[in-house]
Amino acid sequence: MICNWIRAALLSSALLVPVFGQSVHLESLDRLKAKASGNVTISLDASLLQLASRFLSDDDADQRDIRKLVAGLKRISVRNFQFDRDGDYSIGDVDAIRNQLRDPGWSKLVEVRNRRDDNADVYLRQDGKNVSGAVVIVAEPRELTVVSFEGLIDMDGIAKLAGKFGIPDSVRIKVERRGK
Amino acid sequence: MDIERQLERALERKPPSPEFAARVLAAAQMQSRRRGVWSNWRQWIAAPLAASLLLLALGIEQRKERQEGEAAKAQLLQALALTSGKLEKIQELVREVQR
Repeated sequence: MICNWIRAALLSSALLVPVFGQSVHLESLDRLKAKASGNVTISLDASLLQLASRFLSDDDADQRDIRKLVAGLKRISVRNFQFDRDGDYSIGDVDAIRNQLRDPGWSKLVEVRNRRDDNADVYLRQDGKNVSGAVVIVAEPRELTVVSFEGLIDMDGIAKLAGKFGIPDSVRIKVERRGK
Repeated sequence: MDIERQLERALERKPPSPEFAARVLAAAQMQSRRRGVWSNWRQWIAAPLAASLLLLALGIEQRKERQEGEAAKAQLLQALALTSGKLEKIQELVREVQR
């Protein structure tokens, strides 16, 4: 009986992999907490996202839009670390995440490198016409932020939220073009 | 001899008095009534007690779910706000590079 359950679970997870690809793991960054002067760690799986969604207000237009955006998501993970000094984290810490995004399913939408060592990347994963993942990496001298969205991402919802959540128009335009 | 007669008389079969059956029935009814009152009292206490416990359990469960839901909502909004802030930062960086 247990074997059947395990077999069924393995089979279903194997079937899900081609649809949603492999998860991006941010746990390797957690050791930076020891050096950071402040940090934010958020991990919301599908059940927590659905639970959160039920508590969003119907009276608030923004929250209604967020509910639509969240509907297809399987996971949101956030790691944000603030440091007192430059160089408290290494580029190797960031590369550990970037290396996971070398998979052919992922494409880099935005890459910014400047003289002040502000680095930013936006990656998208597409399955056919669907966007099934997005990762935002912003590495500043004293702050490192990585955000990962997994699941079906409603690009109309993202476009709608662009103004409200500061999603740059340039990013939105590229996303829409890729989606076509 | 006298003792034998006395014993025979004492042990000889006698019909019960006419009130005997009535007395037995009355006693049985009294006992049944007492038991009924006790049984109803327990029911009257047990039913609301069970209902109260059920409501209490449901209330605790709902409160727990509400707390978890509000916490998850706060985390979701924080995640989106942080993402928004960082996307704004990326927008600034892109503008700087384009200048």
